[in-house]
Amino acid sequence: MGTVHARSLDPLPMHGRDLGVNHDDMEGMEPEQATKQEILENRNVVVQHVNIEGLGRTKEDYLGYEIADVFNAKNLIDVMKKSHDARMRLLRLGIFKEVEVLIDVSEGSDALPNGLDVTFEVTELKRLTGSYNTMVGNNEGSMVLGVKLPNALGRGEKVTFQFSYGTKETSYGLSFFKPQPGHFERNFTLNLYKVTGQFPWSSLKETDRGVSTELNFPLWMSMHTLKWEGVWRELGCLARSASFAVREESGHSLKSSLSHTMAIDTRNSAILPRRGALLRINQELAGYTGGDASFLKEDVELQLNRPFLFGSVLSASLWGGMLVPIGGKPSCIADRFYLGGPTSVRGFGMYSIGPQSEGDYLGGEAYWAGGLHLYTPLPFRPGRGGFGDLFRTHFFLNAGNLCNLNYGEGPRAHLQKLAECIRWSYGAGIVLRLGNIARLELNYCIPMGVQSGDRICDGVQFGAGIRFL
Amino acid sequence: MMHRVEGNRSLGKAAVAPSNTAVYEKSVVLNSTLPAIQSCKCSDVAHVMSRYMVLYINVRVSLANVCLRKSLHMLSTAAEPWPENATLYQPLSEEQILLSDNASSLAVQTYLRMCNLPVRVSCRANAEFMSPSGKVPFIHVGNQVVSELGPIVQFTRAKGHSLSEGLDDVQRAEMKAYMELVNNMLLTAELYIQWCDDTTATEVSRPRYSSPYSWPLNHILAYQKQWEVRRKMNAVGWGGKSLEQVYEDVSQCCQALSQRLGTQLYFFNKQPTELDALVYGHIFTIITTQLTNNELAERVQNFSNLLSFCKRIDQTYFGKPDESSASSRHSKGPSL
Repeated sequence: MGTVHARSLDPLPMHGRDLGVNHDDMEGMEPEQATKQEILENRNVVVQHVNIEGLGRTKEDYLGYEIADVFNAKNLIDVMKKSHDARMRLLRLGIFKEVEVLIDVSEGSDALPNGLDVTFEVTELKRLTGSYNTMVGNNEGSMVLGVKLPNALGRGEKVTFQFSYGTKETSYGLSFFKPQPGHFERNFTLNLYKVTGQFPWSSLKETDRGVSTELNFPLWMSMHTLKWEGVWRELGCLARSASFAVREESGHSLKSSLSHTMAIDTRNSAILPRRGALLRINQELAGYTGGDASFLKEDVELQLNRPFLFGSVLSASLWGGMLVPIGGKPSCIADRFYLGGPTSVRGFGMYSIGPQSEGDYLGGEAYWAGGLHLYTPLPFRPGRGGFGDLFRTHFFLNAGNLCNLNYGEGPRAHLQKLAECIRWSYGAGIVLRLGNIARLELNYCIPMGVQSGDRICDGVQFGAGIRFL
Repeated sequence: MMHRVEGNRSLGKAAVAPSNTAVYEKSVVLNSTLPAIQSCKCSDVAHVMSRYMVLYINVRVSLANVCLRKSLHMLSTAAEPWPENATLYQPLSEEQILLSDNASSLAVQTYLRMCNLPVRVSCRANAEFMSPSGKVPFIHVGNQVVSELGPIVQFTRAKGHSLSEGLDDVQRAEMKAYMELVNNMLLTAELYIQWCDDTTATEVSRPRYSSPYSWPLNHILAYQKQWEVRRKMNAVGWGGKSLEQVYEDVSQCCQALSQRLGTQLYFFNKQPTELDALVYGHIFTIITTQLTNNELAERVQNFSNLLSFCKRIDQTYFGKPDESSASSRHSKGPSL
């Protein structure tokens, strides 16, 4: 009898492999669950066996932690809830293509009358997956080859390799990821990479070859990352016409740094949040573990969101950072902060605020930026509940400043320096959410407080960004 | 050598073709001076060297023509005065700079002194990477950056300062040929000894070259540089040479220079040219630099007129009249 009920009820909402389950959806399913509860609530059950079928190279002990909770279920609803949770936990590991749950009455000699067996039928990801694509950009083309080995050693380890061969440059990255069994959020990553970046706002070309190790772990509400990075940086001029200030920075340097990041994120979405706050504090100490670069760098990001009238959202954000060179050597152009662009201080050119030399922006050792936004759904809400929900209109007010500090002058002089000549801008535009990682913005901006040397973008500005003010 | 002869012969033919009258005239002038150059031979080695020269001259005359026209063009466009803050950049003189870079840097400094153009010398660990051509030294004048002696000479000429103005076309071609000889023989030999001789590379070049960098970048950069130079050596056909052959080449080159100089004050009699600056830069640096052994310096020291030439330039332009011998001054050369 129990079987019949269980099977007919089978799907608690199952979202496939999408790990970023939308909380709104979950809330929507609640009432349905409540009606079924009446029938089954009083029936006590015992989970006797939990089986996982379809395992190949995955080690069973690694999965034990994820499904252990199912044994604690006391009634059928509980079993289903916990099985569902266990299924999500299994999918989160990123080693299964598909996980199906089967709940049945126990069979066999030791079967209890109210005993249940839960079976997870899993399909493992292929041992090796690859991707290949080509990209064409400004005057250059490249071919990107990616290889991924999910669950390489059977306990959730992942090896990824990406190689990009271009007409101008080649880059690669090799990473090894290992989670702690039972605590997927506690994990370790080892990276080996070479990347080349061109920064036309500074007439600078940078090639980084490096090794980094990263330790991620949650602590109460916050997520922490400890990282060591050793990187060989090669700077060069992008063109012969580069300013001499940039030319002077050319050459090789070695940075070895320890950094710590703490993030508290209670937002309901990373890109278009409706409520919640984000606090991220990052500090980096370079030089104590070797290398040529010595500095202490602090960077803080704060964002607050709260629902406002008629489905609109009021959002405020504040950024600030400071770079203190250690040991009398001036800071390197590659370590300094940059400000301006379509997702930071809008209305100004990309990284085109602050100290510059012959039109090449040199970055600053201290900065702050703040933003105030009012996000509203699109007027008349076209595409509501679907495509239209990827868009928002927004009105914004941004401000910020970037400068170099003379450390002999004391903190009061620093604050004064950061408070004078503030760049600010206001305007309105449309925001498009790209997946859950980036956003596109099309804005009409009116820059104010422009200082000589700043490059402005008066009027329509378009751009994409992962980090936004 | 054979290959070079073939190449030049065909180029010579092209030059004589009547379609290009300007070049045609030059080669006629040149041909009439050939016996003069060849007549100064007095030994077998010198004979070979002067032939080598002649072939270069053949090529260079046509090039000189082009260069001259270009420089005339530059002269008309850039006539700003020489700024006071002109700076010459080179690697760190005490602990980093290598023989070849030091020689090139000294040559440029000498040239600028001969032109009476003041320049401040700035030592930077990343000078090589700051240079637009990747070679040191380079000068920063106004908002322009120019590297290596050849382009710097062009640049100063555009600014209205030239040492070779008084020379006629043939002399100028000859000067360029000898400069090419110094660059192709002496400079290449210096690079060979620095990076292809294992003892020198291990004991002198790699530690010095990488001295500003921290571990492990110092090893990476030093080996990368060594590999790059060795590849270049293979490309110019020096890869298979033995150290002894390279010393022999240096001797031959010095022989040719010594013969050309003779008893004159400078290569073109009383007036210094960029060739004098270049020869001084290399010879002076070679005799004042201590490498793992003295073989290179000894080869050069066999030519007494080159030594007294160096001493003369040193006294005239670097103002140390009391010194008894040029080699006693170590400050400019690497101390290793």
